[in-house]
Amino acid sequence: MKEKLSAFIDGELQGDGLHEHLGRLRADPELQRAWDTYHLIGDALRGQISLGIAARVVARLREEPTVLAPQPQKKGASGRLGWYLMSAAASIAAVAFVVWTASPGWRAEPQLAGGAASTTVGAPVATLASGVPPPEVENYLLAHQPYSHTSAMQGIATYVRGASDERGAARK
Amino acid sequence: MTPAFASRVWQPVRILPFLLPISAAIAQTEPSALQWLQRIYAATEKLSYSGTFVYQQGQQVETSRITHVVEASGPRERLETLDGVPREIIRTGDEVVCYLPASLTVKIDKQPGRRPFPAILTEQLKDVSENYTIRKGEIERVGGYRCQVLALEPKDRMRYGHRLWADLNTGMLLKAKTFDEKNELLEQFAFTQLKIGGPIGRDQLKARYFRESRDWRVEDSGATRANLAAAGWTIRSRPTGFRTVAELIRTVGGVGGVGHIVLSDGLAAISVFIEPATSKHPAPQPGLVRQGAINVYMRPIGSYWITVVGEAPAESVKYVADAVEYRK
Repeated sequence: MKEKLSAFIDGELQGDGLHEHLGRLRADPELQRAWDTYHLIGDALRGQISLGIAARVVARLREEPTVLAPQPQKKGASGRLGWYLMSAAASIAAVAFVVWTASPGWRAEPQLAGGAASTTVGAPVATLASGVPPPEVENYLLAHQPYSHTSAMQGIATYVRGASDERGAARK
Repeated sequence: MTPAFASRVWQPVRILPFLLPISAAIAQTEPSALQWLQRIYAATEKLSYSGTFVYQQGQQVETSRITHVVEASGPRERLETLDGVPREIIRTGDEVVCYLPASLTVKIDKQPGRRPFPAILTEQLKDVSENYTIRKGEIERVGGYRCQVLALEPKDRMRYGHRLWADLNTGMLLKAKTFDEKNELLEQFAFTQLKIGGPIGRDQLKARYFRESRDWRVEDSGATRANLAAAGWTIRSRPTGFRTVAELIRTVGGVGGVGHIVLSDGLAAISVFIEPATSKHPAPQPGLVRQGAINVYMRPIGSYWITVVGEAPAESVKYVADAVEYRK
């Protein structure tokens, strides 16, 4: 539903789709919260929130300790903003996933057994039944790219790697 | 490449499983080949250039335009894809900004504590020469330039082999191919048109997108150096020749607090990402995906997901992923 909401906010819904979605929005409190969050994020990106608020939010986020241990996290008031951002991120990822599943760039590989030789799949697979969801691969790849030492020889040329996938996604 | 040269250089790779221990012991990097590698690194850093190159992996070929200008304040670089969906990357010093118009996203990434050139060079050359045998090949033409061919043969199967073509006059890298352990081509970069030096207009370095619209989502990696070992995360063992070169906490794809460890053998890098499982909707299944020379492997540890990305064989990437441990 949230990808519809995002399309709605972007003015991409028309006719029946628009009416149907307005009805859902009136009835569903979760969608209403997402609506508020999306607009808040949009306003923040457009610089329409007063600097005071933005600075306080940033300061608050900085104070949040980074918990990096495999233990259940406590839920509390301080986690609310995180939850909103996460649900927003997740819904964006969900939109991307629909598009990316048909991307020809990434191939799912059979599991390697006990350190055996790596195997090569002959033909690209249409969907990735297992493995990393493609939109996330893109994020990890971009995060990895600056540290790729081949970039010491090729500059930022290696950044085209993910671009083939984006192109595949657009073809769909 | 001439057939004679190909067989001379790649024969040991083809029969790798049987001869590896012997060939690794006998193989010697020629000093002049190492000097060539050094020239390539220096050229990438010091030269101003502008040109068009193709990237090929599998059946896909993409054309891009790249401009690199060295100014008093440091190098500035811009990459723009010319085929398919537009994408633009701009690097200024240690900051990289990616414009992804298809998703209206701007990603900003800064490398904290990145060691400047040439401080990093000695280290890199030492690592490369320990893990690869570097040999000079013939002289071949690429993009109108006469180039020295260099072959980098991996000393074991935990990394890929490379062939490099560098301009005889400037050392500029004009073509690069990556091969797997069966000596099959995984991916290649090659300039089809290139202008080295001379005046390059500043407008060629300006971002084209972003200004056109204000509805872009900005994602800052906010990367800071971190001690993940102190937080309990360690890599129990690593493939021969790989060592830790960076340890960070950052944002990836809008999810904050992600641990990021980078291992390198001087040429290939492997990134380990550690993030809370709560950020994954829907929960992924453990597994491996590949594109060109990049392998990605994902697996859960407790309430965390480990994602390993590297321009290295699946075996290395999985090895690293399996070696990640939480101990406290």
